[in-house]
Amino acid sequence: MIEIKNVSKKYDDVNALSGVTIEVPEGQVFGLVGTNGAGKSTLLRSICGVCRPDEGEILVDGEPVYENPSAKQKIFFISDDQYYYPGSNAEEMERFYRTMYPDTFSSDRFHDLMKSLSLDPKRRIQTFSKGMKKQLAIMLGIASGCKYILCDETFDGLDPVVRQAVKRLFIHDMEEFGITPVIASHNLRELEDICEYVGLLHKGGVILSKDLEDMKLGIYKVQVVFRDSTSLETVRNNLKVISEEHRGSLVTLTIRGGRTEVETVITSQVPVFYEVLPLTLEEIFISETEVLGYDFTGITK
Amino acid sequence: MTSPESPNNNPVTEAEIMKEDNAKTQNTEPAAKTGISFASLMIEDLRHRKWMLVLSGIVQLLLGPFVTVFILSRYNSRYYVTDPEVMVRQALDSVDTLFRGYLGGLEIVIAVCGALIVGIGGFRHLFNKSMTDMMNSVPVKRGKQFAVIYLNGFLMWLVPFMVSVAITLIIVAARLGSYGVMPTAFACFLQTFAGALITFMCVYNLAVLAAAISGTVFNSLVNMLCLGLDAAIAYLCLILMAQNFFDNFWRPSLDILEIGWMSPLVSSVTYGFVIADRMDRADLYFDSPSTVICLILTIAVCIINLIVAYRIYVTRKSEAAESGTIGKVYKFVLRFVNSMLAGLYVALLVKNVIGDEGYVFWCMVITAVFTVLMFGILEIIQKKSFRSFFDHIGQMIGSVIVAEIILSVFLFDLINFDNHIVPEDNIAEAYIRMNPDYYYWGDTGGGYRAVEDRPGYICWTEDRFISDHYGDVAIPKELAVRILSAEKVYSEMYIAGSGYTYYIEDPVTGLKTTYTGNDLYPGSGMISYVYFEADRKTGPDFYRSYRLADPDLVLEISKLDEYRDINYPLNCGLLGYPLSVELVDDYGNRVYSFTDEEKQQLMDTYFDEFRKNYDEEGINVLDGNIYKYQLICRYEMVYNEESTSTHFFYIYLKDNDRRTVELIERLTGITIDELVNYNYDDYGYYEDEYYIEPY
Repeated sequence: MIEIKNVSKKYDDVNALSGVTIEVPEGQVFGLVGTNGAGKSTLLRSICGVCRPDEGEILVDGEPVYENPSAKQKIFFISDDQYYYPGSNAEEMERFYRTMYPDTFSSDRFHDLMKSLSLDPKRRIQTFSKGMKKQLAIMLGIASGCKYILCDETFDGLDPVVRQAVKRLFIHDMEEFGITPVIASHNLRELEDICEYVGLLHKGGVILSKDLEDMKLGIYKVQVVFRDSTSLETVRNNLKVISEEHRGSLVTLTIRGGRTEVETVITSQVPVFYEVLPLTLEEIFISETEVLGYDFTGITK
Repeated sequence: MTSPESPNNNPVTEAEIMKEDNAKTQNTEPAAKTGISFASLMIEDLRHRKWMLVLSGIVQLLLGPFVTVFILSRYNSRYYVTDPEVMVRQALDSVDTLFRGYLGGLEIVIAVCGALIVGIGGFRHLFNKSMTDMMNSVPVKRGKQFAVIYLNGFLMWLVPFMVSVAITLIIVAARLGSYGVMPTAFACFLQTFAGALITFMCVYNLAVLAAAISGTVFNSLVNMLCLGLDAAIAYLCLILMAQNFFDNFWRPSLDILEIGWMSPLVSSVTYGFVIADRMDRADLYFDSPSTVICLILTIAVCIINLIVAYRIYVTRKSEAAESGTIGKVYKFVLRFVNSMLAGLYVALLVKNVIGDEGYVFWCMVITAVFTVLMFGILEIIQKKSFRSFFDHIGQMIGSVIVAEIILSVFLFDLINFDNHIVPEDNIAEAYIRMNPDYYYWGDTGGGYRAVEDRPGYICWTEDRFISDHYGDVAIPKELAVRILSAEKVYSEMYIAGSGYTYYIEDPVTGLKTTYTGNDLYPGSGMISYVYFEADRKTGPDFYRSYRLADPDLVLEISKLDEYRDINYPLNCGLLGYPLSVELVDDYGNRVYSFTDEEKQQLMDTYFDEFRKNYDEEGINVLDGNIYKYQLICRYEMVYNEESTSTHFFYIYLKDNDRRTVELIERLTGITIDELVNYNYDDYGYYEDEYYIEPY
């Protein structure tokens, strides 16, 4: 398990992370989502020991990670701009990471994966497309045999077929070897397919961090047509309404709470029509950040 | 959550299951952690900077053997001798020339370039964010990373160097081994190695430090120059300011080694050359305690640079990559010092361009302008942003104020340097050196002495070469006091300006000579420069350059035997008889060569006459006479046991060398008039009717 305890990090005068506390459970895909500049990359770079937090601590299986090869041996970091030595080919990078992870790196696995993705290990990486470079980074990460694979915007640039293949690979390795991918991305639909656990970052702080299913169970979108306006007022007073949208008599409400609780209050008002829908991760994200003032709906006014 | 495609549903072969099982075992149950070995990290690092090794190898392996073959073949073809003793000496000479003259110098140059490339190139990941992320994310401690990169860089220089030298020694052994030169060659190699090593290590550690505090290559180079030169440049700036703005400033020239130890780029290269070239000639350099202390300090600075670089590297933030320079305090010091230096150096330039009138205002203005400019430029370099020019306006103003204060110290003598005179009772010893205005009168310039048992051979006066009192004459305290008094008189006259009248009374005749402020110019007969040094009983030595407003005092000083001997060793006969003496006419033609017997008689006469004239007239003996013809005296200058070179000194004969002139006329049968080919009238010069064929 990765424990991030009250971690803060500043770049000059800018707070990149501010008192972040999250636990990344083992054997699950952890999605890290957040607004632009929320600190996702900084958090990942701190988890793998690239950055040293100004405050707080990060423990990997109970060990502090910064300057600790024993803890870092369990982590492979795939940055959004993975570095490859100039003029090198995939085999040379494989040799580099084999040196760095001598106890866990599997060359056979690497070559098998390269073959299955039809990547030529002898071709110069600088001739690779952006997506191919990302694929290579993922192959190296998986072949490294590390328990935790940190992916910073890794799925961006992958074509849909490869994206699915990578997802399958992660799930396979998670089931077989108990790896824990930590994926930071803006593409919430992608994450929704694969993540079980999600952390939401905004302005360097954590909005929420919980199981995706729990998250979805705690927030609902309700489309309803009331008979009169007092019903809506009653709903507002009895439930945690995060947002509401009116289209004629149809009201769309985003409500925090259990499904039963929401349905009880709505039905008590005897609406003309109502439907309770689960929210997508993207809708949850937008709702949660809107509450915190991250709202650009006025941009067109 | 379930796998989109469970592996169990796939048709898999037994081999694939085995492979997967192996992978599983490898991934989940590492039987025993082997860790990352230092050697494997070194090999990996080396793989990614092969080009540096290849470059070092090509340069060293080609250059060393190539130069060796070239030098040895040149020497072999120059001499055709059969005398075994001469052959051995020539072989040794070849080896000496090879190592000292060529390889030593080349290896220093290679060491500087190599250290710069492997130092900054080795730590290039510090200048690239994604590479820094990769390097810092792998499970290797930063200290170990530093050691790997550092050691590899060192070996990249050392291994090709050693191989190159081994080939060089093999070539030397093959060509000259039969003459028994190998012990000498090996000793020379050790010297070359020691020189190159100290140069490499100093520059390498400096380059590594510069890389550790920088986020780009350009910043590294700027920081390297600042760290490597600033101390020496600052010291030189203060000396130049004192020389330009203080009337009386003077101090004996310092060896670059003594002032450059704080500046690794200066000291490493200088010591490298000195060690490679002269380490065995300990009498020249390494018997001086200050030189040895400076060498120790140079090595200490080199080690400190490495330690600081290491500390910065292991604690450096990864986000420093691609930024300008790290460290708020260091950046401030860099801007502060260099902006002031720029301002002060430009002030010096302005003073020299404008001259002595009205320079104060412009110096102050220009200093402020250039301090601001340099401060802003450094800010831009450090932050990689043109908008940063005025980011620290408070610091900028502070730099200008401090620069102006320093300038004012020199402009207005705020520390009372010029007017301060050492109290008489605090003088332990005193020395003077006169301004060498008269050197062209046949003077040898000092610094020579005769070589014992080798007539006609001279060498450098090594005692004086390393002496604190180079070229100085010890003077009695009474004379020192008079010099200080004369300085006071000069100061009064200088302040009074051209309206001042000054009388000097002849003690014998009682006649008074009148001088005015208009005589306050060197060469007017009134003023002579003198470099004055007093070793104080308490406190540091006192050095000043004074203008003596007292011709009698100047004459008295010049009549001191020690002054005469040091400044005119040739004319006094202290260099012994020359190997040959020839007579030269106005055209510069050598018209007569004296026989050994004639030479001896002639030189005895001249030495005797010079000393007598000098005893009577002091340096006035050299003043005001126009030479009619000259004698060329040939000596052999000895550099070391093997090498000498021919030196010609000129004795210009004057009207008062009457006995010498008469003797020349008698020995050669040539009159003075016959030697003077040029004469002057109102229309210019015309050629005389006399013409003597060169012999």
